[in-house]
Amino acid sequence: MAFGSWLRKNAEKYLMEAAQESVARRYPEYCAESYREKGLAHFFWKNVFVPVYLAIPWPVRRKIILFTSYPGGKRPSWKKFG
Amino acid sequence: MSSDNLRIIIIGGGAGGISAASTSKTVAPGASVTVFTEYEDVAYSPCGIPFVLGKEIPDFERLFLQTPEHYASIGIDLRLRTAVTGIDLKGRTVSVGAEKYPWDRLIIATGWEYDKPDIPGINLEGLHYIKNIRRAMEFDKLLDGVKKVVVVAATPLGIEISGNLAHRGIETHLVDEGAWLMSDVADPDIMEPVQKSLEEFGTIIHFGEKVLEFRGRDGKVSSVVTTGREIECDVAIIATHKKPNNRISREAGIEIGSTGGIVVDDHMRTSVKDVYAAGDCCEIIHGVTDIPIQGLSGSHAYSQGRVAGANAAGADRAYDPVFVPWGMVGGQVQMGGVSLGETLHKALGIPHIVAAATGISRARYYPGVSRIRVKLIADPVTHRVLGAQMSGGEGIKERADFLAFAIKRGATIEDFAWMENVYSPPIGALMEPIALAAQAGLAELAKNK
Repeated sequence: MAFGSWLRKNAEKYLMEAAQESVARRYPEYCAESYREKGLAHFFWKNVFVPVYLAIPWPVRRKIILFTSYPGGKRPSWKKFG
Repeated sequence: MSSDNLRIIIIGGGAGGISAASTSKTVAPGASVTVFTEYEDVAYSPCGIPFVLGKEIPDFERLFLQTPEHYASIGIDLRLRTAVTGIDLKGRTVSVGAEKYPWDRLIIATGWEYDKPDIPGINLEGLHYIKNIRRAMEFDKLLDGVKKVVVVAATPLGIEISGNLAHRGIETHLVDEGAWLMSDVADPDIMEPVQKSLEEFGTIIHFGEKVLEFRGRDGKVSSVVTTGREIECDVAIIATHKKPNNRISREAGIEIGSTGGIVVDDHMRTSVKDVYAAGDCCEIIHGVTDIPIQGLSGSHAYSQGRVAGANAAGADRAYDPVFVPWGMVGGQVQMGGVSLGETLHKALGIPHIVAAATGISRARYYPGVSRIRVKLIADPVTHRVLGAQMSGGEGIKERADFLAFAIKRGATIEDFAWMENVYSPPIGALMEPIALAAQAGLAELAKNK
């Protein structure tokens, strides 16, 4: 698996889990308990990656996301909105 | 090269492939257009399958939109049950076993496949995947003798199939790792009425449970083991996520992006000259975030196919980044949205405010009135609306389409708060629920000042 795909897959999983937990705290009446994996890798992503990612200012983080989203960091030609 | 002499080959006969073929033929009537599909049929609506299985639609024949004879009559060479096994980019051919077929323009529309869980028992008989109409017809006959089903994953398909099978009178268990339905795209307050409706239909939902194993007797599934229990069943339906079906493209050396989809530009051109792609096999830029995404709807595949087909035949058409209006029915409740909801905004860490309200679909005194929950997500600085989610008894699809159109054009919370709306007791309430949500958003913004 290419680095971009590996990073995206893991980042998506753990950022989603953190977001789901936050949203579940906001709407506890509508939520059950999620299943969560345990182990060292999970500990790292949850307790190191997610807080570091969320501490980076959004404009910088956005650039990182976009750079890692395209092969070689090169965005194909598409119209831009907003 | 004159477009009349073009040899256009399309791999895949789903929405993307078939619309590409028809459009190519319209743009360049003299071109030879050949569609290869590994399946027995083309031009049917796979999205309708859960509703036939649930007996909402009486038969599968209604899902067919066109016949192979129709495509032959307009000059499209349709090769059914013909799987392309390789693409030679230098020699400009595709292989079907030992045979090679030359192309001047190639359109890849190989679609998607299920992300199969790598767990014990995954190859047992009795595990079903809803995709191909012929297999669904066979499954439908089998269901007549089935008493108990386990559906794995509360994805859109998992929800549709669970509601429909429960409606058919089969004891249906839905197992999901999340804390609410569709927890990786939708928000819990939006999905709560859907959950209630499914449960009223008789679906038994097991949240927060991971499927560990399928157990069987005589090679056939007899139970599903989760982290919480063992559920006996006659059949299990795997409704896990869709992933791009890109083996032959990857092997050929066509550029694949971080989603696993083929990288294309707004003309649906891949990294290789004269090779186009459309539908679920490729990744498309998201209009709000600018991030490539993959796994959209049949209507997206259809539109992308039209663009790819037109350009392959010599036209110059562009496809816009997507804002992804979506909608569906779970039980008797409609749900839908545009772009990202609250959970996904949080996951990406995009600064946002949440504006939500519950309104009604018709005049409060009119028979059939139902509650409509609308949630808008907006940028706290520019007030531009970035996304929306909704659920309710009716009118969700129309609201999702309207919101997608308006969000694409940069509409703000203020625009929606002061929008005009139709008021007519049988079809629209005095206060449009979208406007109510936006007004709640203005109050939220005022609080944060």
